[in-house]
Amino acid sequence: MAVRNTAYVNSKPKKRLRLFSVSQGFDLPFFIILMLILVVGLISLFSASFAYSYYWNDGDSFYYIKRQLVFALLGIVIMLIVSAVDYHILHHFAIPLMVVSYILLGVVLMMPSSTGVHRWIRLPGFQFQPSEIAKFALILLFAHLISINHKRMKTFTAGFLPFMLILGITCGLVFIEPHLSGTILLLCIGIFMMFVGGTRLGYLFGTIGLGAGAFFYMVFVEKYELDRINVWLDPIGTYATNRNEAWQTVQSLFAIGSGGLMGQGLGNSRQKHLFLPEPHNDFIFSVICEELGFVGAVLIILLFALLVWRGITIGMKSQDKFGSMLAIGLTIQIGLQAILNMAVVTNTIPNTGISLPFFSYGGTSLVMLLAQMGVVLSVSRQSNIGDT
Amino acid sequence: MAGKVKNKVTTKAPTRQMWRRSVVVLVILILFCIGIIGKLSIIQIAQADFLREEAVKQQMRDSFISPKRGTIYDTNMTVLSLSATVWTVIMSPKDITDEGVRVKIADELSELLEVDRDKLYEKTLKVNSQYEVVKPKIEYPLAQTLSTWIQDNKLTGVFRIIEDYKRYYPLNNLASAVLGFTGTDNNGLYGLEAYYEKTLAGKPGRIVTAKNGWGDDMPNKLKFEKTVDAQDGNSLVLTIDSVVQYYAEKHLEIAVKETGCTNRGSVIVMEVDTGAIIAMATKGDFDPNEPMTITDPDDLTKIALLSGDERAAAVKKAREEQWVNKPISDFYEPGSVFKTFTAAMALEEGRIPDNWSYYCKGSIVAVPGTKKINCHKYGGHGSQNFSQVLSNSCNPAFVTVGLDLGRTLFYKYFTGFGFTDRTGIDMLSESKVTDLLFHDESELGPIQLAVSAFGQTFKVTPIQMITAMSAVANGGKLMQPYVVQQILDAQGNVISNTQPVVKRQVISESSAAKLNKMMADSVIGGGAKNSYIAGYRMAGKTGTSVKTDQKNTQGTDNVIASFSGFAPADDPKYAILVMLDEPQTAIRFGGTLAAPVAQKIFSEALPYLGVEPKYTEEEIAAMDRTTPSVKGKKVSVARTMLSNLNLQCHVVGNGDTVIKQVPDKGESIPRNGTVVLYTDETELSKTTVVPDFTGKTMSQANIAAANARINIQISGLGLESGEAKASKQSIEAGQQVPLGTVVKVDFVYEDQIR
Repeated sequence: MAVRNTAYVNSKPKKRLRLFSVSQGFDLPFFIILMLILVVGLISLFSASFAYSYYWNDGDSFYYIKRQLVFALLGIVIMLIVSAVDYHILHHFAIPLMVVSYILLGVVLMMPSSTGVHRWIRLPGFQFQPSEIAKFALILLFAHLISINHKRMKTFTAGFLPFMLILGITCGLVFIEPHLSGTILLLCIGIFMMFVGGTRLGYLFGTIGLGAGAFFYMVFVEKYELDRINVWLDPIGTYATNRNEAWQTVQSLFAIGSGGLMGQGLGNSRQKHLFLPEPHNDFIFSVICEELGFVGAVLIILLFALLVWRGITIGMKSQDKFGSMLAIGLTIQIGLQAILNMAVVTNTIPNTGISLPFFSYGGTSLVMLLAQMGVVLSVSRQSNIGDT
Repeated sequence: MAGKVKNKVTTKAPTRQMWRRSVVVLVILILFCIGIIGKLSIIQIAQADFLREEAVKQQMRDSFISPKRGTIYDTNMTVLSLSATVWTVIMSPKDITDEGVRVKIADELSELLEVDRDKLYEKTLKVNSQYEVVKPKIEYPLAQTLSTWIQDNKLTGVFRIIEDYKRYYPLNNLASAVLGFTGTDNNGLYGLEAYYEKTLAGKPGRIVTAKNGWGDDMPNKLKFEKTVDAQDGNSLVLTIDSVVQYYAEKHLEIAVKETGCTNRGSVIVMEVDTGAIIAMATKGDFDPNEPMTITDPDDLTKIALLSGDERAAAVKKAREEQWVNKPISDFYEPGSVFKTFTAAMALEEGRIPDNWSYYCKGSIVAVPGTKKINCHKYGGHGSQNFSQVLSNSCNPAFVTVGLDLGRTLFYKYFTGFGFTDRTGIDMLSESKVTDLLFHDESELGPIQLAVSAFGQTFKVTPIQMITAMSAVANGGKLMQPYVVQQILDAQGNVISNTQPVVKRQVISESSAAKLNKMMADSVIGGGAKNSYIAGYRMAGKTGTSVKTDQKNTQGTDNVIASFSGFAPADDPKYAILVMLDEPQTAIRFGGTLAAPVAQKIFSEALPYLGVEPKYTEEEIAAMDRTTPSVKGKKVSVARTMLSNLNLQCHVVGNGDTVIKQVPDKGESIPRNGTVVLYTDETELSKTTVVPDFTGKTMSQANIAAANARINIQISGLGLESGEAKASKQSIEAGQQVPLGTVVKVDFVYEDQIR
């Protein structure tokens, strides 16, 4: 993993360290799609958190939306700033950030737990999940490694082993928090980036095969999280006998089903009145489905699909492999997280806590997401996307 | 692609492989999206209805709004039964915060609401409950007091006072057996309340309230509530006239008390043209406001001596007995009243030629070799025509008539008059009529036929009897009796109006007319003469049947004394039936006990019902006179005035001007009554002693009254008769009264005609 500074610093002499270059505009379609998602997300959050906030914040229905708005504005500013920065500067941070996130993932295990899980580091004024930082660190490090090693990506030692080690350590640390959904997300992002980066398909399929095997072994032999699997397979039936276990899934299905084709109308969800757990967070999409119906839900999925398409396009049109892998990695992150969230609330996959990017409540997370989108925009400034 | 970017740094640009693989990733992600959309379409389209239904079940709290139960009116729209708003107190022990509050609630509220303190305290301990009824159906003032108490103690979160309805019967016992009563949840349990339950009840409304995941109501600004109004019940307008009902109950109650009936008594008054029930009385009865309270003093005495299960059983039995609507539920042997129908059959079948006569020897052997059947008159009635046979209620004559008719005809008319079937009156618990109660045609052998012909060995209900009697009065048309005239909706619009139903023509009009005349004669001179009312030609038949299956406490057979008739005989309007079950007096004949009750009810009810009296000359002559004012007039003038009115006068004092008259002007005294004229101040204080009239005939009583210089007003009967004897007087014997005072004296016949 020798880092040859010259290799990437000299790769783009003309634009080197030009922090606030506006000579070339960023990709407007991506920006517009992103802003659309953000606006829809904020409206959804307002509606979804309205009742929940009322009950939990002494009748203040605006508590969550007010905070989220502030963070959204802050996030946009940061995003614009980041988009103006030459992303090549990130080469320097790839390894340090990974080290920092390992430290933080270590620290978080020592933090006081809430109901047995250690996910948050709480500081005065804000709190964050080290796994969120680890995600970015992983994408950055993988992009960095792929871009400098791309000629040797077909080899086992350069194109597979280091990635698997990094991925293994990162996922391992997140898994013991425990944070299953974060682990899965990291794994998927990692595998996808390796795939795009050029790792041999054989290695990848082998890994996926092993992972799948381990998964089935855990579930069907070790009976790991079997209750969760049972709820997944028969939510209504389980609800009748084991209400608590199936509560989240069934309440989500009730909400989505109640929406029908056209929805109950914005603001009219009933399930958000303390039936759905965290309607402003992991289950915000259920509220959207209830209020806006199948049509609204499909439109939102379409928005995410457009964002993913545009993000990957930015990556493919990037002038170099680093920018390309960054944009693709970050885009995959958004797309996968959205898909996993929707898959969970629709009971397409077993329930695991995962938030919907740009929709779910969480100031730090939103700012971090927007900052990362800033990186994608930064890549787009130097891409050839305008030529197509 | 690489070619296009030739001006840029191409060596570091993404490779074709990366490009391809990126497209693969994009495709995979898009496929995932399509997968999600597919799953959404299953949930939101295919399973939407099921899931929405399930969701609504948990989101909504359904509470019911009681509909207001319809009112029951009498025929003049007098309220007999109505629902009024009351309040039910609900407590949510879940919301009680500490022990002190529990004790306070138990202590203060038990006193305020008059409930048991310990039971209330137990309820406050049910910390998981949000719904405990503290006290149902309290009235407005108490609800007000309670509301203040709740607010003063800041317990608005713990208590709710919800609206409810309570059934009231403003006339208390009046028509209680007909009306029945309702249960605590306002459902009809007995009587019309139960029979017309669906009509009266209305449809409950619903309040669908959104609740949140904690099961609480939504906060105010997020409130969601949908109300489906309750549909108030329809009201009933009865054919019963509460005034006639009152007369019926008043006189029946007196009779039941005076005769010491141990199994209550019944009266039915029916409009003969329509079958409408004008009055239907049962005594003893109950107050439907307090249906559980046992009214019979004998039962109460008995129950007081019992305990445990025996007591509970006795209480249950006593309650069920007092609720029974005797006129439609009880069977009895009609006895001689039934002779009316045997007579009707004979007349209809033309078995009674004008020269018909029967010689009664005092008994008859119906079937050779069997026991002889006695007439109630020892020695027999001798030779009688058919009218006399009916009037004398001669058993051997009816045995002969019955045997002459034969079983087929007898059974045909027996069925025709409706004795083998329910009348179909719109009331709860009309007893089912089974052939165990009478002999059907195949069982009607000569002996059974002979005895049935004078009304024994079978049983009928009072409603069957009066319906059949009304057919006789109504030109032979048997009507279906009914008690509900109209059904009104909650706004008072008429929804349905009952039309009289003619069931069938049982006998011809001419036969009916003949029979009417004979029955009217029976009232004037025969067995039913105690039912005579001046101005109204009444037709009727008395009956006394022995309960051969029961003995009373004295070891003699219990009897049922009954009377059934109608008036006016020449144009019958109303029929009446009086039945006294198990009277305990020495003389217990229908003619002695039941007929006077009918007479008293009709003499008040007929004028009220607008039946014009038609007096015979004899009656007019015998009618009471209203005293004129002769005060201040010369004695000679006064004397002439009084004698013109067929009144006597007795002058007291030596003056020539009348200074005082007794009775005063405008009072009613009988023909030939005496008006005492005072002419001298010193004589004003003169008094006389009221003689004892009881047991005297009318002429004896008149003589006694004249001697004492007082007037008697004859009550009960209008015509002078040698056989009637005084039974009661309005001023007790031995009292000092001014000369000329009017004393009311009741006369009654004591004939022993069954």
